[in-house]
Amino acid sequence: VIDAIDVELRERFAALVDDADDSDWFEVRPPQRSLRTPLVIAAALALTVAVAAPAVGLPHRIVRLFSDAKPAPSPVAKAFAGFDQLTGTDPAATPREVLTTRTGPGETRRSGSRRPRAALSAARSSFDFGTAPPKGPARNASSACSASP
Amino acid sequence: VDARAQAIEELYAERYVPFRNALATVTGSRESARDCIQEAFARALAERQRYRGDAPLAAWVWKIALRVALESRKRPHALPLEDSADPGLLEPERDPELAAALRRLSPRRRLIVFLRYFGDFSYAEIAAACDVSEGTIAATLARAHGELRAALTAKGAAR
Repeated sequence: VIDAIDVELRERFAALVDDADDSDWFEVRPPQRSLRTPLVIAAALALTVAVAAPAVGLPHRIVRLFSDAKPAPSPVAKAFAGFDQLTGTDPAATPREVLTTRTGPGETRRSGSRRPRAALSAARSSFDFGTAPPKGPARNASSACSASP
Repeated sequence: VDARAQAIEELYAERYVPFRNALATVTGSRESARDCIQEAFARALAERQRYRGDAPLAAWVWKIALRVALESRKRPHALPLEDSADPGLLEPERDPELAAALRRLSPRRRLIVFLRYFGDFSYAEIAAACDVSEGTIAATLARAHGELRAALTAKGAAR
């Protein structure tokens, strides 16, 4: 009896079966990636690191260059520290004059009769703290402006 | 390609249509069944190292397919896989007597009948898919046969 119903069920189910085969194995299994893409990515990464590493390291070297430098001589350090405390100085004056002249807050030192270019030239030549200051601005002014009448 | 991947591919080639037809009774359409079967075989490939080989491969893949189908239906997770499915014929109007007889079966027996006649599953495969012994499957199918025979005979006599 069981065999008869089994046969009958097989026949009736077979009549309902959809035999259309819409299988697609390649849809199940994604295509294998070639080695080309990973190699290109690895090469791009290596190139980026090679280019970026010096750029990243450079600022540290610059910072180290300044931090490792010898300290300035004491007169230079004092002179530069003194600049911060001066107000109202004349840019045309020699550094020695600037350092030795005291002006009060809000005061401006008069530059005298020297012409600015001659005074600047004198300041340039006298900036060396180890040498004596120039005798007078007139000489420097005449040498700097020899073409002028 | 390793041996397990090869076996899964061969199973796909040989059993795709029966698997889809059996799963369509759970999903309600051939299209959704196809999607679930594709996803199931993809998962089977990805997780093939977990297949221990102590059960038929068809049963192992079927369990994955049934899980995929039920996940897509948001089944309650508390129920076992085969108990949460409520399969039915896709086009009951094509054989109303059989459809009515099948509806009288419990969902579990109905699924076993569909696995047997739509999925071409052996007793051993059904047993492994349902995590029971072959004897239990034989007994379950015998009872299902009896119920179906009674229902179909009564309908035939009434005609």
